[in-house]
Amino acid sequence: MTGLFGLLNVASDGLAAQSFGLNVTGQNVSNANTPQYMRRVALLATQAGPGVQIQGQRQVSDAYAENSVYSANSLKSSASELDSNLASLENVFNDSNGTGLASSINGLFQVFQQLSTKPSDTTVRQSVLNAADQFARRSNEIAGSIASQRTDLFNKADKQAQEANQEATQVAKLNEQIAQALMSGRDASGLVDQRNKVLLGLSEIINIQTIAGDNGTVTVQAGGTTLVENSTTRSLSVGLDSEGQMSFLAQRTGSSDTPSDITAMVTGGSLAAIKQARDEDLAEVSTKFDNYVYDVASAINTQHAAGVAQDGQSGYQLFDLPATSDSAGQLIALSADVAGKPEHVAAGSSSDGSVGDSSNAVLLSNLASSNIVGGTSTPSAAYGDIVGDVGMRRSGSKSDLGLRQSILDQANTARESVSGVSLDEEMANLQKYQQGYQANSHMLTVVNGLLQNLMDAVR
Amino acid sequence: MRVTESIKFANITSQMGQLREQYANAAQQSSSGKRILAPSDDPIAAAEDSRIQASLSQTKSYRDSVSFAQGDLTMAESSLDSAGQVMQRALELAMSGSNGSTSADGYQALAAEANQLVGSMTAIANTKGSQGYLFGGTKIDAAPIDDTGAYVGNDQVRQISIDGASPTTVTVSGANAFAKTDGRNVIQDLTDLSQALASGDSGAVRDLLGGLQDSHSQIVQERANAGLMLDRLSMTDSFLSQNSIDLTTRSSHLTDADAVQTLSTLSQLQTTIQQAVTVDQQLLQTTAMTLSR
Repeated sequence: MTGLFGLLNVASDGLAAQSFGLNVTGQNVSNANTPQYMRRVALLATQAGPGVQIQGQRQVSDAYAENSVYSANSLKSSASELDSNLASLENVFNDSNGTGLASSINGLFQVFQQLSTKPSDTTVRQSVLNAADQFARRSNEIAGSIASQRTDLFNKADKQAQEANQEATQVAKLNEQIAQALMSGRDASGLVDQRNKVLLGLSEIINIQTIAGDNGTVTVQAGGTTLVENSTTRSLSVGLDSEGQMSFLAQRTGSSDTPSDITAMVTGGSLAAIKQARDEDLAEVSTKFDNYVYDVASAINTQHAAGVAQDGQSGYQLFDLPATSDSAGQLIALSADVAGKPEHVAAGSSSDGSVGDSSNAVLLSNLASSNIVGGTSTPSAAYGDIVGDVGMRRSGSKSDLGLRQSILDQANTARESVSGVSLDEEMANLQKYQQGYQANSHMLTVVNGLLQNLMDAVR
Repeated sequence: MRVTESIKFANITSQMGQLREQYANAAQQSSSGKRILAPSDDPIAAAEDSRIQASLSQTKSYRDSVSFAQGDLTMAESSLDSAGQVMQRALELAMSGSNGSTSADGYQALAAEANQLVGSMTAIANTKGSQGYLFGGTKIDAAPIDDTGAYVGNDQVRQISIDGASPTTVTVSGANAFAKTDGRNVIQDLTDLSQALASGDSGAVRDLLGGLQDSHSQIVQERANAGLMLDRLSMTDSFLSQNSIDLTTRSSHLTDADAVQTLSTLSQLQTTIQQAVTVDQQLLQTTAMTLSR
């Protein structure tokens, strides 16, 4: 049983408690739109004696919801990276936009057809050289574009690995700071919010999972390896294996141990997409393209060499090609046999110098309908296959991106539902603490009044 | 589920974003008239269209070849027609010179005209087309009948590939017309006639009649051949023209946007976007904060 002075203390406790509640509400309202902010809840409790105890504030979070957001974010980031790379690849094969090889290959066969009607016309012969040169250059451009995209992707992966390392270091530092704050009884909520923001950024680069550790620290698993534990980290790096494929390596920071290969375990984030784009999609399309160019150009070379030029000689090649289809797209060029020498175009088949013989030109133009690519497809069918393949890959990545975005939106909604600030709720809290404060302050006024009466009574 | 401000804003942004993207796509289709702006819009159709475009390109070049071949072939046919008339006249001269009733002066006149016919026939055989000599086979850079009256062309014909299958012959064989192996040498026959007429020997002239008729038939045969080739080229051109239309139609079905549908979609989306904006505004204002003022 407390006396009037005791009541004063109770009221003043009450005022402090409601004021604290107002502060927490104010904090929530001012951070209503801060990304990754976790709403606070004022912790008020009864105590052994009279009055109310302020136990501090609690961040409302759900570890499962947080991890769901990280994994959904990784997958969405991965899908977005892959889609943007495949969009670049698609641009290189978009014949309706004037890129792609279709007009060059069609032009080449058209000009062989013209040669079959006008085998002695120098202008037509020059057109053959121009069309062949155009085909070679366009092939170089396409193959070169894919190759430089692959190089850029390697450099990008390298930069992203370094960025991930910086973020891991930040998480480790924040772990340390949070542990210290908690051990000395200070509020670490702001630091936790910061750490969450860094973790979200990290999840965009690589797939992560977080596990709560001691003293408010967090252990971060990434790509199957422990990236951060308390205040120690592992460093990521990017390398090339013996076949030129990209690999991801992890090594305890600052040590000289052999790095371990974590490539197979990197399944999310932009790093996973960069590897897939570089070593699967771009590599496969590039190989298909090289095979196409090699087969078409080889068949043309063989037929051209079998024919007879205006000087009565055979054996002239139309294209310079490497020995195998490897990098054929980048290396094909107009052959020195014919460059600047339209008289070396082999339109005829007989070596008796018949100027009007166009039989070899007929055979060259017939290649358009022959199965010269892989032994099974005509040039137009094979090129159509490549276009279709590129289209399918991009179409797949577009719809995948849409799906991943929806999943991320759902994960964010779930997280927000737990940790986000609802202004409606905060308005209600504001009312609640305001009224509480008013009531306590009225109590103070009443007790004060009673004390005054008492003073007056004993004067 | 707690609905927070972030959730509300995120929903609005995502929803408006999707509507705007759909609108942009529909607008692009409408302005370009194309349903397929990149291979990923419809990969299978894009691959198919790529093959159709290649076929269209081939068809066009076949038609150009046909048109070009028709030019020279028409000229060859009309030249052979003239050659036939020359042979006809030669036959008439031979008939006149073989009946024994012609005077010596008459024979000289006949011989002179026969000599002119040799010149005419030589000129016809040496006709030039757009590429070179029409009747030299593949030796188009030298006159097929040389100064001595000998045929120095070859018996090759030029072929072109019109449908990607077996090649089609598009030139007449000068050899077959004027100097056929196991056939007649037309210039020689006319020269012989001129000489026989000059000698005034009706018997000798009569002996030449059979050969001259064979020469005439030989030329007429080759002319008929040219006529047949022209007919065939004409039919091929019609077929190629129809093929071209069919291919263009197929390509259009695959890649063109349906104008009516696109406009309708655009209009629908516009309405939806306007509605969404109105509703979203309402949503954003319906908070405890704004309502409790």
